[in-house]
Amino acid sequence: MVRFENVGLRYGLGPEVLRDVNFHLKKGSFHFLTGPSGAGKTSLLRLMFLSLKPSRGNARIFGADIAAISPSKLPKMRRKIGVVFQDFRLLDHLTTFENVALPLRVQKQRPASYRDDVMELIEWVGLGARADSYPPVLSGGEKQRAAIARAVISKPDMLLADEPTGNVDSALGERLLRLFIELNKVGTTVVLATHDLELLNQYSAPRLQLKGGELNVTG
Amino acid sequence: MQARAPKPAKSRYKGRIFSQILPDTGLSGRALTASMSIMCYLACLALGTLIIVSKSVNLWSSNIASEVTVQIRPANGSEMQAAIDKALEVLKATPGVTATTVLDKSDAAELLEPWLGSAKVLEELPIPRLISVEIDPDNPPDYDQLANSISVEVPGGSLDTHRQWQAQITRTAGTFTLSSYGILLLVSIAAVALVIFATRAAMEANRDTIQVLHLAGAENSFIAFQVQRHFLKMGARAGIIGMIGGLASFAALGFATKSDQAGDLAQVGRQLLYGPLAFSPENYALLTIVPLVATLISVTTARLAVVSMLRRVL
Repeated sequence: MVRFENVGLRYGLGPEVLRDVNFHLKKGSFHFLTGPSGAGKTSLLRLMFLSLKPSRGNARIFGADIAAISPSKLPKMRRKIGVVFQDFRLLDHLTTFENVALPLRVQKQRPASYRDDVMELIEWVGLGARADSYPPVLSGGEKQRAAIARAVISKPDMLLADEPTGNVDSALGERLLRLFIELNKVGTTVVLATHDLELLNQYSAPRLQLKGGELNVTG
Repeated sequence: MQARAPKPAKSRYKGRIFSQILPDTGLSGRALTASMSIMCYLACLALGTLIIVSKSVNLWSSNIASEVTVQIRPANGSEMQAAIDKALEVLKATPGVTATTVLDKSDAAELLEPWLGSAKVLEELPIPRLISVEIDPDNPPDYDQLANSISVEVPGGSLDTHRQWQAQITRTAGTFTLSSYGILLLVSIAAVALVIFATRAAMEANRDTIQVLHLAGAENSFIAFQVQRHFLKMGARAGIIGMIGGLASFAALGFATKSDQAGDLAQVGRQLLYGPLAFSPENYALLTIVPLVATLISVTTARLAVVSMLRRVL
């Protein structure tokens, strides 16, 4: 599903933030992505959700070379990937419901076909009473849950989450981890970037450990 | 009494109209609408000027084309009245001539008075006599042949077809028309440039939203549609404001001046709005082109600009 071979990434003429990254994610696998702040976790995730192109090396996703994907094919590729951003990236002028429904809306699906599914997921993440609220009035944890709901609403083939439990208490963090595990069990490939040791200890999964731009795979 | 049960959460969004994906903020501000309205107003004035000039020229030309003048200069050894009679005889025999009016000596003297002064002096001078000849515009005579007959058969006679004036009017009207087209072109170019700048600003203001849309799998055409619908509303609004301003200006031109001379700008201005004798819908139809074209320019330019910008983004 994802294969990186000797991948390097630099921003402009700056130093390489990722060096000789090698790993392979099989379809339906679950991986933690760990490492200290500034190690390159977000950059690696950005490569995986097709927001960046590698400076060198061979990076393939769903069998396609990331560096060579044509712009016209990008939207369909991206629809297979759900992303939870560290800073949520909810649209402030849309309600929680509309934010969660956004991936389905951009796929031009009819509202009647997804309205109940969206509401059900919002209820499941505990935001039923906040469906009509706008992000500026949501707490950090509520925004996090809305962002997760948006990432999984279209049942993506791969879910990339950048610190998804960073703003929630341990009970909710555990619940959200269970959601990721459930999604993984139905075939979604999950990469969960975190440095939350408690979360890492709750589930046994291979770890992609980044340090100084270099990656080690353990477990 | 039992309290009514709350509506199930699932049904709350049924029939709901979703918010716009791109907010109005930063997309089509008042300054942009005001600038576009001014462009549309200028376009309306240019278009109205085209119509007015065209109508005026038609009026002036038809007046000139339906009348020619025979001038008889006093010639040595010839009797003026005999020459006039001969000229009338020639004119009556010419097909296409519908009526003739001989200007008597005092009328001719009045015409010359601004240049030669007192009528008493004029009485003693050998003044040329004029015959006003009305022509059937649909079946005009052969002017060359008529001029030849007059000059050969009438001593001191010549035919003035006013072609020189007609040519000057046509040239002047051509200059006005060309200027109006030039203004329309410049206004259109300025409107396109304005929309391009506004689109860039809008894209910059909504950079984060567009990035989220991209990552959610939105196609460029979807994002372009979201942007262009804002510019559609803005273009239509600005076009209508500009058109109303233009119509108000022509109404003011028609009523602020009192002149009622045929072909006068004020009179033609009134005709532009209300038709010569009956309502003339083609004039209104022409002016409604302004909001339509403004909308088209806004939407097309915005779409092309957005697609071009999105192509540069991964």
